[in-house]
Amino acid sequence: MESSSVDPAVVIKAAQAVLGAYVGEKVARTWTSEMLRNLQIGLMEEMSREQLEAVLKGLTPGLAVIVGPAKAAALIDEIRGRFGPKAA
Amino acid sequence: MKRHHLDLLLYGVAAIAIAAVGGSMLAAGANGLSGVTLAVHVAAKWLLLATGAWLSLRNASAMGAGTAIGRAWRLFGLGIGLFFIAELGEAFYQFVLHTLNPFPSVLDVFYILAYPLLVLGLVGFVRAYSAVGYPMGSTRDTVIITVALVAVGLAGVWPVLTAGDGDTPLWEKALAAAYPLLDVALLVAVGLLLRGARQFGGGHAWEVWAFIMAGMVVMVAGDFVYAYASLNAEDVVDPISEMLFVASYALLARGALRQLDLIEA
Repeated sequence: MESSSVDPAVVIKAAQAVLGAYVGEKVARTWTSEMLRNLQIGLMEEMSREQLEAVLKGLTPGLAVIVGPAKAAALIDEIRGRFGPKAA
Repeated sequence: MKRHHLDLLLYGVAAIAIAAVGGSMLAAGANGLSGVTLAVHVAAKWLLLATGAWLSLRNASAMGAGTAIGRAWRLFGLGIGLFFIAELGEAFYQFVLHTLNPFPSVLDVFYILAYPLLVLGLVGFVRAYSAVGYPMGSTRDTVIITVALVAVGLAGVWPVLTAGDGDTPLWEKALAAAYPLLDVALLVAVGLLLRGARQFGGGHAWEVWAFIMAGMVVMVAGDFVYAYASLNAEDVVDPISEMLFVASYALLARGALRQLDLIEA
């Protein structure tokens, strides 16, 4: 069974890996870190799957203006996929 | 047609047109374009503009007609489309009536209307990016960029604005002045976009804007060269400005194609 908590540092790395090619690695990193900060998630603490979903939801509009809504959804799915299926 | 082939076609068409005009200049000097060279050049401009407009409108549709970014792409595509219609009209004068289009003419309506659409499109891109949280620059930066570019632009176009004899009707002078002034507005919009787009350096998004902004700057350069050539009152198709226009249209179409790549590839 997959863990239901996620390491924020890994989320940043995943966003950087998937989105960096489109918006540049610096923007991908800064953008995801800001999203974590807005949700008051510290880098040293674990985050829940719900918080991960909130971060991904926050990233979607910014990505949609670059690659369109359909591809943005696919890329967000790709990041989500890196954390395995949601625990029941 | 695969996008890779379309890419090659854009570069190929622009290269052939520029080589034809450049070769003609080397052979006969800068005495204006005519005959087969002019026909090849005009066909290239049609193809590049039509492709640029079509790709931009496809981007608009893929981004979502009701979205800010979709609206910006639509305005941009319509602006390029108006240039296409104006170029069709110019060719009618050149190849059917065997003369250069007079100034002013009905074609100026299309050219003049194209500029606000392009400016609104570029500003629309900036606003759409800003609305989703990308830092596109402070108000202070906007004022500095606007003032600096307006000053530089006006200094460059001043001889064109003040040219012409006293018998020229006021509305004709105003129309002649409108082109360089709209070029300055275009430069300001490019400056605002450049300030925000730089952050995407290293990503594919930067490539889109690099092509679009380069296309706009080359187009403005072409307008300036054309305006200065017109001051000499020679009724010929100026080859240098025409080469710049072809390069500009190719870059704009290439930028729109890169955006479509990001959406669909």
